[in-house]
Amino acid sequence: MAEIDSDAVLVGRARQGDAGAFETLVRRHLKSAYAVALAQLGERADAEDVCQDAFITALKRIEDCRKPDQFGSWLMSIVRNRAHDYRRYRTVRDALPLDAATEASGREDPEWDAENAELREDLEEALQHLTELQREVILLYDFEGWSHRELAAKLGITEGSARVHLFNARRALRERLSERHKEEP
Amino acid sequence: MNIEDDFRDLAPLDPGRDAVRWESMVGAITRAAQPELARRSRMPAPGMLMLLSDWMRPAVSTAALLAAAAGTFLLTEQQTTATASTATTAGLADALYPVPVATWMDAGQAPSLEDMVTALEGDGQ
Repeated sequence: MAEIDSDAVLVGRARQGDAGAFETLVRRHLKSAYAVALAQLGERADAEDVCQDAFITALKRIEDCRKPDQFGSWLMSIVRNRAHDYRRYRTVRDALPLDAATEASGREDPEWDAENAELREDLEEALQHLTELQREVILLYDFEGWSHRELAAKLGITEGSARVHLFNARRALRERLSERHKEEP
Repeated sequence: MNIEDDFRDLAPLDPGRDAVRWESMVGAITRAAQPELARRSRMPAPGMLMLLSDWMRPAVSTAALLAAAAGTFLLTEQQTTATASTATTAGLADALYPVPVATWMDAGQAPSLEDMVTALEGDGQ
């Protein structure tokens, strides 16, 4: 069985320019970074941009990562900061026309795309009715399968609080989605 | 109500669901990182100076903390010495002069004629 390198080992190698180590870090932490970015920004294309920006920033400042074994938590703080900056930038950008290419899917299945796009739209709209912390909790729980304990540790809240936020987020989402379906003819 | 209810359907938002898009995201990040990775790979391996520089920040912080502690200790010590010195002077006056005289010295006030007569009479007894 192949040994899995720890974050600390990968960070050490990435510091020396090891592309493979950096890519492993990207694959390991991209989903959680994306969940945090999406929770803050609400749009997939923006979340992707912020993730890319955050990973490049992290690489450039990797010497500042004082606890390489906690690279994920450090990266998330960068994602939050970049998302915050991006939100301010977006107020200007929103005046410009949307780039349709950023919304294009890699799949060549128009039916699947259409159905998925509708579901995504519903969910994105429903997510906007949650608090930022609720969005982070529910997205990290669903995308990454983090336990309540992991959520608590990585978001700096108590385990009980993580449970409550998750419960409230799910209830609010369910209510919002069912309202939306009732509204539809 | 069960807190672990079964709502778990955010899959359409999961970036890993669309493998092509996922790979495209990873690829975009790694491509954007290439210049920085190349710059880093050209840098010399961490030598003694780099290892020392890693120690520099905690060492400077510790030194500053020690300096602050030493300063506080010295100030406290000076105050204690000054208090002890005053106490010693007062004790010396008590030993060298009769009690009323020592009291006048401590109070820093000139005695009246009556006080002086009383003191002399008391000393003579």
